[in-house]
Amino acid sequence: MSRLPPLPERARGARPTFFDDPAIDTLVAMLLELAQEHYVARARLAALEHWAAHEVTGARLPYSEAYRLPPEEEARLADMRAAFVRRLMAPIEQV
Amino acid sequence: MTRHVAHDLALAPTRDETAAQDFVSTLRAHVLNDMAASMKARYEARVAPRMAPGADGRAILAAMRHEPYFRFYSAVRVKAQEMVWASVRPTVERDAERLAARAAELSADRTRAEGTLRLDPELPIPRNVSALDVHLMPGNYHFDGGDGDLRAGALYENGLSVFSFGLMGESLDDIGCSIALWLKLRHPEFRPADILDLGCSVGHQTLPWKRAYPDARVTGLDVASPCLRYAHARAQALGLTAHFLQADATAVPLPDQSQDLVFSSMFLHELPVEDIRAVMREAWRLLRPGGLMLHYELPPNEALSAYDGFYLDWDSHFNAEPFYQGYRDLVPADEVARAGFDRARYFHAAIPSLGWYGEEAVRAAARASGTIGSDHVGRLADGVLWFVYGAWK
Repeated sequence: MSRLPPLPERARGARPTFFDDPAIDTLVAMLLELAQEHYVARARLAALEHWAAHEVTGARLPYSEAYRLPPEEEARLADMRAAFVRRLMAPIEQV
Repeated sequence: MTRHVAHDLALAPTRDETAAQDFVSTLRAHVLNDMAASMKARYEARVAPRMAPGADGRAILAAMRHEPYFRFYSAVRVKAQEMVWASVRPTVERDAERLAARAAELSADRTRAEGTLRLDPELPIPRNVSALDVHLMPGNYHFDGGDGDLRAGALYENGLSVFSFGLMGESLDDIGCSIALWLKLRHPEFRPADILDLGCSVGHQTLPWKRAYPDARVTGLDVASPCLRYAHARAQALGLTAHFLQADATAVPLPDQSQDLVFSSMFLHELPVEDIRAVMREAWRLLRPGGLMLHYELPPNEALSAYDGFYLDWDSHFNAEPFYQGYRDLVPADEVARAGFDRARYFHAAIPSLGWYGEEAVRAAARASGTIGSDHVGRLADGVLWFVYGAWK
């Protein structure tokens, strides 16, 4: 337990809203939280797949090592992430 | 993409935390590159034809606020900004004590560097810092939980790594590195012995000056004690001797004519106009004859199209930077002259990002006249150019 008081969780001041109905601003924020969580799960799955692949081929690695993706896998994941964000935002392009 | 902090004050995020940060970086890159381009195309097709001749950035904002695309762009950008800090805060909190202990070790290790830290617990925090959370950063830059607390510095540096999606270099110092290289190439005869960085935060743009001029005494100044603790430890970690001082840039506790270069980076636009003028007067006072005042800043409205002015001023309205637009309404040459500098010795330049364009582009800029001429100037997006201005004393 830290001896320090916790950092504030939210910035002071009114949160800006942009839509006539601010519920839409709230929904956009919720959607992005959900998308982030989805990506975190996807990245975890990629790491587990990498680890599992080593398991089945017998090339056993310490879990802490296998859970760190090699650079080429990280690059593949980054491409996947960018494509995911483009798809997520694509409906806005129809506006 | 995100360049996670890698020096000795690096946090220890979990894989999930790193993934959450990577997502935010990618989201911001999409907003500031792809969505920004789409928004401009919509403006030109749908809004510009009905704007009155001579409409300025404020008029464009009034018109764009009704555009559905602007609303989505802005809602996503605000949320992405909040997610920047939220994605690093848990790691900072968890690592706070380890970070404080590591900082104390680094400070004591004089074999790495011989920097100093001078805090002033009695310093009044100016209202432009104490009364708001700039950049929507919870707690702002000065939130101090007591001795050894450097979390605001850690939150800022790690958040900036996420925020800038790789555009600010390996050590978040592309601005300082690009400008220092440009200055050395353009003025090889200039060899500053004393360099002062005003509003230095975590010192990420302070240290490039030590690299560029190794014999100089380099000092970073800020009002925020946790950022200065972090800046000092960070400099020690990187093996660069720099000195950090808690003080207000409008009243610097250093002697007249004690500096050769007074620099700031993205600092003036955080100040009310009267403080900007006080800072420039201080620069004049602090400089020796032949010294240089140099500011990296947002380009002024007078140098930009109305649309680019509208685009940059988004932060003033929606990112807790209330002085940003007022700053950009000023004419830098006028302000420099008002502070006592000779207007004829004013200059400005757009300097290519060293990391994005490479050294040859900076060399070409050092040979060129000081034109702006690109909508990439001052805009954090792919292909950024850094805008600087200043004057010789």
